Amino acid sequence: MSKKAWILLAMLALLFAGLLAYGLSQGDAGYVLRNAAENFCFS
Amino acid sequence: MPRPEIGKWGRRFPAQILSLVAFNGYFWRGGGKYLCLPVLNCYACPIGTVACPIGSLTAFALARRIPFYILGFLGLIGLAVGRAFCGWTCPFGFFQDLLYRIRSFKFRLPRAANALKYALLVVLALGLPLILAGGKRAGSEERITSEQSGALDYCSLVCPVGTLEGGVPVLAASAEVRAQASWRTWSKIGIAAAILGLAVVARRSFCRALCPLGALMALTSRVSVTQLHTEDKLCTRCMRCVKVCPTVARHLPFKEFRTEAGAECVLCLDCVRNCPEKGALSARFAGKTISVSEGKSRE
Repeated sequence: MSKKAWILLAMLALLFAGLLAYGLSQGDAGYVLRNAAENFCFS
Repeated sequence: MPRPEIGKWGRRFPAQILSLVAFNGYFWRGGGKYLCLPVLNCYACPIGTVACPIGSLTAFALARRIPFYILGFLGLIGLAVGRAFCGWTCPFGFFQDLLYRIRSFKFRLPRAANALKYALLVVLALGLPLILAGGKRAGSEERITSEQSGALDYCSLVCPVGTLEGGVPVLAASAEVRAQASWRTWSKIGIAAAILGLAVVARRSFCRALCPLGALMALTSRVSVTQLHTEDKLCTRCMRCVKVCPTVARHLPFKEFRTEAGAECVLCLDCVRNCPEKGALSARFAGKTISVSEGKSRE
């Protein structure tokens, strides 16, 4: 892979890591769990 | 177009079995549903252990929340291993692989069919829930159910995994639920049956044409650090890799096709395992070879 491709990849990785960190700080994971629990069949 | 072949399954078969058990291991499900791994396995199923990314994305769209966590998490996975989860761990992908082993007439869907899954992602998984739930939103923490928005989303209308893992068992177990079943229920069962029938004759047809999760992961798989690599000097253009590719992703390694497989590649490595030329085809992670053709598949 070329240097340019690595730089693009690193920037994308930083972007996604930022999204993940922000989402976690906003309680997204808890919302995912809650949604999964409320969709539970046989409950 | 070359005639499709099944080829060797290799280590993928045990990996798929283990994943099937892991993603449907009732006894350790616990808080695993915090996780949105890129596999299609219904979280409404009592034995499911992780959350479905598409169901979760739809839930976020219904609540008009931006799914930062899901996009970031799936994006990082996509950058690292592309669509390898589709090829190695997705339970429904495994089920399709098994169905394709049934002896029958076989054919390949045209490449144009690949575009349908992007439309399903944008329209049914995200767009319609976002639009239809708009008037019912009271706050971002309030959960709007699919039913409240008219149940016009991917999970309610199409998803065969939800039908097989969540819908059919409930219908089978409860006469009360069967009595309440509407035309929607039976139409979804019909769609699931059609998708399963198609999987028997067209390999990984659902992954290629109808899976919105595959569409989402395909966005990053093109730039993933895990890629296929062909040694031009060793490749004899025998077309074996093209014939065994389950998603018709593999291009001939000619100069005009510089991308080896692109967005549709599920990194199953069937092409590497079945390549008859030693060292001609390999899979690389960040430039380092992780699997290379051994040339044992000469016919």
